[in-house]
Amino acid sequence: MASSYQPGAPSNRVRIVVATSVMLTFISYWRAAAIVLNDLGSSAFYAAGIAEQAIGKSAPWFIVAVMLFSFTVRAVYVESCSMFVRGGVYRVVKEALGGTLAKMSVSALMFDYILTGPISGVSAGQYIAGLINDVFVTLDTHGWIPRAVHAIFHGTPHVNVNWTSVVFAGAVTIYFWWQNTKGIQESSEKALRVMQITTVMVVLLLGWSAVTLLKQGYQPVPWPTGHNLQFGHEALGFLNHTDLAHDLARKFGLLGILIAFGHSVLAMSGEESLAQVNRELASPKLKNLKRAAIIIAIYSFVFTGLTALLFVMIIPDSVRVPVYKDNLIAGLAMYLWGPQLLRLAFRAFVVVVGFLILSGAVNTAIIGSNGVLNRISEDGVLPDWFRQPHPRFGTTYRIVNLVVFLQLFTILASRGNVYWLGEAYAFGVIWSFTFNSLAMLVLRYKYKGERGWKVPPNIQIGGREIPVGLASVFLVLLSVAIVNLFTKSLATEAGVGFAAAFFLVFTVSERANRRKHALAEQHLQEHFQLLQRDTVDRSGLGIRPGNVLVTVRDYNTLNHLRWALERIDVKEQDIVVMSARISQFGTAAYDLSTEQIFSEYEEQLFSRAVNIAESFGKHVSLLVVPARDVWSAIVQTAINLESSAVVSGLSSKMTAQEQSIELGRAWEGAPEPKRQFVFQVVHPDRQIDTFRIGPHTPSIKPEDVHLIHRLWLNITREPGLDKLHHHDIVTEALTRFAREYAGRDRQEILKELRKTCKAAPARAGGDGNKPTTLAPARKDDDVSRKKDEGPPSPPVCGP
Amino acid sequence: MLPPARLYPVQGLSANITRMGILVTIAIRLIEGMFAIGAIGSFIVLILTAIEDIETLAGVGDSKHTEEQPT
Repeated sequence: MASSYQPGAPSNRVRIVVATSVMLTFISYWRAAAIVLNDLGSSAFYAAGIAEQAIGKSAPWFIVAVMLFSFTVRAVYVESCSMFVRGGVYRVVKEALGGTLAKMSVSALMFDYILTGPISGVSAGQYIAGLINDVFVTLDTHGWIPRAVHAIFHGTPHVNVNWTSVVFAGAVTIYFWWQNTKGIQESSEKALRVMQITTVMVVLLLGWSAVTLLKQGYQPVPWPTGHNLQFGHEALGFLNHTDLAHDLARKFGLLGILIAFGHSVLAMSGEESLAQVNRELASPKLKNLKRAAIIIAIYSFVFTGLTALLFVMIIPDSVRVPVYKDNLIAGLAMYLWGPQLLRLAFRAFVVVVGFLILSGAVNTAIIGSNGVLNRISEDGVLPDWFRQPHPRFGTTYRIVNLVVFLQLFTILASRGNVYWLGEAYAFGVIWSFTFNSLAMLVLRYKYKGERGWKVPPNIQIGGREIPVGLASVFLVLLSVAIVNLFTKSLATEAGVGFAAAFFLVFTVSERANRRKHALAEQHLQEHFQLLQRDTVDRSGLGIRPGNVLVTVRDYNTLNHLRWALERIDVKEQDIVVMSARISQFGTAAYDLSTEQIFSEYEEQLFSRAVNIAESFGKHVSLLVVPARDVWSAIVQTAINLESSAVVSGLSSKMTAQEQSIELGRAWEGAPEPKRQFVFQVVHPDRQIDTFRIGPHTPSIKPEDVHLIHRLWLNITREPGLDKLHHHDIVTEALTRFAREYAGRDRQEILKELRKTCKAAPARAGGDGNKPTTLAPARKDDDVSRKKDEGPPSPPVCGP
Repeated sequence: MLPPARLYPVQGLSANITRMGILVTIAIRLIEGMFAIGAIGSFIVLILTAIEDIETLAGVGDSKHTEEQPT
């Protein structure tokens, strides 16, 4: 589908093609499941402890119930993902529920995201501090702690668990703040590795627990009846001061169950991440989404649900809550059957896994918050000031700063109390789910576009479809959310306060921005004509093959565009100026709309680019593509447009060689058919580095050419070989080399090659023996570097 | 001599508390009803999606009754 954004627009405006389909490196459903499980699985480390403190020993049954219910919430998210809508969560919810509820929904979502970081960081800190203290106790038991150390600590050395957790959570948050400010890309590979390690831990934990149950027996888990519920002092919240608090179970049996369910709902936090990875799933999208959802649901049910039962069955009552409430998996490791040192070693493994998965969740929280605030800023609900890119890294650092500031504030305010954080977090989680399911319910009637799947069952009455399943899930979520308002007083106060503050800021900003955005839109329509295209191709831009693609990001650094314009005769070659609109994993559940992709910043960027092109009297085609990974976007665009060269400025974060290696890797990952092109990096001092991307004929040293020739002379003297060509010798040599490399001589070959590497002059590629499509990057070889002097010459064109 | 009964503040407060109690009870029963109906419906959703999940995992194909062609 290709449609003009402004049909019938005056022809003197600058045409900009806006690609609306995100250029993604698609991921398998296994990787997608791993990304979601990094968030969802992390709740297994703290949810059961929080629930038991609130409702007593029968909490595991409620955790199991919540995990079963999460299957249905997952179904709502699958339906939400199967809708073909654009515009980000705010716009989609606004369409369904109106501006006020949309702002409330986004506020709840922000509260959810902001709290994810602190609870994960503090929980990881609890596991680490708990391990440190238990190691000290073990060492002391063996008499390995010197008396002097005893004197310092007035007994066995120990650390303050809560404050250690605060310090740890703060350090992790600051670390990821810097990573996100720099804009380090997250990879699904990392998530997959973390989940593989976590799976090893889960299998060991369950297997070892089964052996323990057989050897030692188990403590029964009280059935989830009203009489078995023992609400903690804080678990009834505002109801504490009413008659209900005295005999809740007798008066309202179901209400007690409902309250208990509300205190366990935290176990399914992270389900919302499913929507964030949907866009990146490989085809067939819906089928893969369902597969990913099944894996997620089963895995989290086994991990979070079964371990919750095992905590009560194995860890003695005397220590479970008093000692291990905030690090129950570590407690379970310590009460497994077997020698103490082995248990302690396993506990250390649990802590390492906890550190990996929970730290990952801190990063996910920053990325998610950044994504949501970016989208609503694009919708004019936050001032544009927040979206100004970092002068060096190009990231939306002000939003990252705001998010991290709020997270650090929360960490300090919590003083390392996981229960407090969990209660507050549950507010964001439940209201976020409730608003989403409500929006989906309303969209069943309002949205008539593409929808791949619906939550069953749906009943037809009088020609009208009744979404029974969706409404049921919504009813459970709404009733739990309402009850939580009264039973989680601290969460209600914090959540309502936070959400109200965000709501106020959103409302005021939206009003202030309305006039400004109207002017900006008018300006945009006067100067630019946005042409929406689903995919990027030559016909959409009206350009010829062999064109030059110039990538732009920062309007203050467009020297490379000038350089290209100086050298290219536009009668012979077209120039395409391309900007990639980057969004990371977990930044948006829906594709962006055209005006979101082409925002005020892109307007400024392209205005500068057009001015520069006009100063040379040359025409350039303009293109914006949404992307998750800039390198993949450049490669895919260059292939689609049949570009012969890509010209970029020098990155502020990496060298030209590193840029070329990233581009080469993206080329390797690009789907067939693909073509080679030349990549030129223009330094600020106008030195040029040139790389060939894709397989190509390597430069051969003169002595190697002589060697081939000598061999050819000798071999052709042999009978029957007089018709042999030089290339036949090269083919034979390479075939033998490949055979030896695949056989037992591999290590020897590598050793020889390493020697060659060391002996060679400084390599530009510097990638060791990693495979790359780039040329061997010696300065005298495929990578050419020159000071841009003398008469202008066109960029290298064609492979 | 006592003032007229309608002026007794205690009686008024007591009546308000009673009315409030009834309202609270109705509200709680309403929420309980929502939860019960929702839980039954969610159980059906769970069963139906589980059947679909088994079909998906077995590679039988997508569900026939919930799939909708793109428009």
